[in-house]
Amino acid sequence: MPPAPKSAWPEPESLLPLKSVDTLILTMLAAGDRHGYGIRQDILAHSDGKIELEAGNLYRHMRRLESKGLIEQAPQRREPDGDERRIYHRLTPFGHRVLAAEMLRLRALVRLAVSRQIIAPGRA
Amino acid sequence: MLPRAFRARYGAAIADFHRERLAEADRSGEPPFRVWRRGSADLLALVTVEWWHALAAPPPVRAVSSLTPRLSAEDRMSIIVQEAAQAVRSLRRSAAFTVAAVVTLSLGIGSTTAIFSVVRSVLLAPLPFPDADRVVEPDARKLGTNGTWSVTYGDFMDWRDQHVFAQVAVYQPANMDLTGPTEPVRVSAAAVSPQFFGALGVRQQVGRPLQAADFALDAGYAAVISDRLWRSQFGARPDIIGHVVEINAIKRTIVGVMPAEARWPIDADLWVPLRIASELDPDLQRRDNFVFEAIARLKPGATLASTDAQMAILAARVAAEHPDIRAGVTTLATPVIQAMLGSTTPRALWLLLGAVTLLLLIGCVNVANLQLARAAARQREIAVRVALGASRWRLVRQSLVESSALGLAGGVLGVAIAIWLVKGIVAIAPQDVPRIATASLDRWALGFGLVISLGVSLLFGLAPAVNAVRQRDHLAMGEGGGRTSVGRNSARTRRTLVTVELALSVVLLVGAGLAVRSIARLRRVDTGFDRRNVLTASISVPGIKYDTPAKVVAFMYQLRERLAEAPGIQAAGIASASPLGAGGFYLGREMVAEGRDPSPANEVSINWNVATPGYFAALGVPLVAGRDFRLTDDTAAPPVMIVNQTFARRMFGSGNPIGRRAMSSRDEKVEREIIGVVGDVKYYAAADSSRALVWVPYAQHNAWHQGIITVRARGGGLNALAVVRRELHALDPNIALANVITMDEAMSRSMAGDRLVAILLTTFASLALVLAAIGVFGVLSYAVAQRTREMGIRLALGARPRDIRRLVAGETGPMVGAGVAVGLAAAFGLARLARSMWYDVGPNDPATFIGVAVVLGVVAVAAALVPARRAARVDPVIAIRNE
Repeated sequence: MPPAPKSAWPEPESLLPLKSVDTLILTMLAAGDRHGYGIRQDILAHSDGKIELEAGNLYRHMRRLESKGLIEQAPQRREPDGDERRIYHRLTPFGHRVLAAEMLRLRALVRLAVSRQIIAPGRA
Repeated sequence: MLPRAFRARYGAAIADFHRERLAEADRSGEPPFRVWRRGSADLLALVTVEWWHALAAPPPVRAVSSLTPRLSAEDRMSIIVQEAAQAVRSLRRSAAFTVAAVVTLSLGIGSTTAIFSVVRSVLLAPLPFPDADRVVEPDARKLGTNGTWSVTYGDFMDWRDQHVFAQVAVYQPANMDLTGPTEPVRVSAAAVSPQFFGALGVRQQVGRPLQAADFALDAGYAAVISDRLWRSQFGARPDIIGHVVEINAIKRTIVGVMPAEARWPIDADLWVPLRIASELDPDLQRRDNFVFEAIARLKPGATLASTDAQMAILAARVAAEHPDIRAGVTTLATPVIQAMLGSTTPRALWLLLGAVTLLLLIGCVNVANLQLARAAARQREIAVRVALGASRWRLVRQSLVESSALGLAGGVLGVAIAIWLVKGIVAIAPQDVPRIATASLDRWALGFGLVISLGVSLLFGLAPAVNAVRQRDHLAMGEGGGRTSVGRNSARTRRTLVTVELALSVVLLVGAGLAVRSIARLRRVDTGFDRRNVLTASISVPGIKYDTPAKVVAFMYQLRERLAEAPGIQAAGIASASPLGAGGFYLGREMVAEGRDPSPANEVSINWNVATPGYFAALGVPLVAGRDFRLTDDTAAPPVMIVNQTFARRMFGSGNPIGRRAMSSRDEKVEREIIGVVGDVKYYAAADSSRALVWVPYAQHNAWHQGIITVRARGGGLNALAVVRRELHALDPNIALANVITMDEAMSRSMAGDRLVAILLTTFASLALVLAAIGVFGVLSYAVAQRTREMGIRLALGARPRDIRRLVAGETGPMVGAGVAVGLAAAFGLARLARSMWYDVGPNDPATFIGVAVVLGVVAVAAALVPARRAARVDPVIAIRNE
């Protein structure tokens, strides 16, 4: 399922709101190319072990993200331990834009939560 | 396991992921079970989602797919509507098929929904009191048996004082006479102990329950009445509270009215305090005086098991203290539903539900078959669709929409059938099945009907859907000979389906056959007495007016005299209990023959009854030896008794019992001389086994206040009713007649449950048979139509019509044989399980099994005849020409 040509890509805002798993995956990929297990590790670390993604779950979402053009396969890398079989993914520019739009939306939501005293104002 | 495209892209990555995962789990010490569990669930979800996604995707061959515009919601809606309209149109074109399918489905869905309604309202509906799952009925039970019986006051005191329950109460049913404006009205009553209403938890709709103050011996007489009594006797008057009524010649004040649904544990019209003069009364203290019914509410936090354990410990202590009367007896708490329904009713209902499900399955198989036949005829249409670009999903969808339309149509018609069927069931069901009168098609049943309609349409819709997809794949791969191979597959599938159908029908037919034979046997059972023209009615002599045994006896015997002399009455008598479960009261006692040691080894368990002279003649029980009671058998004469043959056999073997003596070893302890032996009667129901029975005269220290008038009328039992009423009224106008019933009616009532099951099973089985016949007919007709060309060639080459017919018959043979064989095997296994359901029949009843096999064989052959004849009449010229 190759992504559609650029001229047909929709506006980033039209894909919002993203599912929370999608947001997590995209955020972890923003740090650089990752393979599937690496994404799982990153999310585990970030959530203090609370969010554990299994293979099927992860790759299901990644399939969808790829079909929407938000991520793509990165060229093969040569690992220090010589493991060439790993498949790496990375964000596309479009994916970057969508992720940014989502973060802006979330920030606005957090601001609303603070103003309604659901949580205390954090450090900026 | 995954769709090809997904596997290609991500398969390796997923394999990688798992490898790293397992390595990590090793390192971090995560339990492997957890890893595998999560992994399996995850994989399952993945497969499901990806297949769903794959089916929805357009075929990958189309290069133009990425330009397919995304459909808006409205477009999608209109497509669905279009497809639905298309489905309806297509169905209307094949009207015969549609009608057949819808009728088949509606019969299956309707029957299933109807039975489900009944099951729901009898077994599953919530009980009309709060926290019904915490309410139990404490019972006594003999270890090693399944029967339970009532409890002793001593046991009740133990539970109360040891706080085994949150609330516990005992009650005794009674019949009391309410003085009405014209005639006294017999009401069923319950004398209850103080915690009764607390245990039940039902709040009065008006007024208050009986309270502690009402139980004091010097308190005023209070009573709580039922909603039914309030409406029927008091016109639902709003000032009912405080109203004073006369019951059994005692003035009582009504303090509360129960709500209408309060029918358990006893369907009484009146609740009065159980007044105990002293709990130290030796009669109450006796640990074998099992005459109280009990109810209780579990303690918060306690479970049924923990309560049972506590009760068992207390019962064991009693057994240790009184081994002669309590050895092997324990107590336990029975949950409400079980206490209400017993064990036969739920079993019968589940059996019916199972049977009706079979019918539904047979219906589905039939419709699937019909659909396959139709699909085979529409292969060209499907080929065109595929050429126009229909995806797999689209074809499946089309099949499903058509199936759903059929299913829903069948469902709607089925609901109509169900309404009618439920009314019928309620009409002929035995009245003592609790809550059956309220069985109706409610929300739940309708929802159930809807769910099975859709479920069923999925089931039979799969066959043509799979067929269409397979055809499409064949065409896509360029297999031009698609018609033949698909046709062959389809034919084999259809034959398998018919075999399955036949097997299921066999099971149903065997079930129905067994039920019918059981009823037939029950009907012919010798009840032990002459049922014709016998009328019974029960009376209760109020203790206030008849306060000495002599007065009670005088009344009973006088009434009996008057009745015996009255015109139109051949014989009359009064006894404490009536056979065939038509009511009354008896005691379970142990008797020991004179001269033998009163130890359990020498005891014979009996049912102790009381009677006047003339009873056996009225009932028509043969007097096998000795004589009937006489007026002179009173307190001045030697104590006597009349026994039945079973008693004589158990106590004395084949010896002559007349003149010998025995005593009730645990209570009366009076040696009574046997003066007569009567034939055995069926005590509880027609299916009852033999019991040892003993009768003693009212006049000899057994002046019970309750009795059942039994008269044998000249011509027609009910004619005697007016006479009985008149004579009773003449003696005492304040005593009411209750439970008026003829013995014929009692017999009929005792079989009502079995009869209902038999009728329903027979109906379902007949329907199944018809459907199976249609199935066989359909498959063969189609097979013949397919091979018309072949038949034509054979005929042209000189085959005789007989040979062609044999050819067709040869098709039927294996199909029917396999179906019947499998069905009989399954039926045999199931009959073993349900053996307890039927009277005297079971897996060892070869006649039924053989009969069913024969019937099915005949039906199948008949169904095959028409296609066979049609095959033989094929005109060879036309057949070969129509390629």
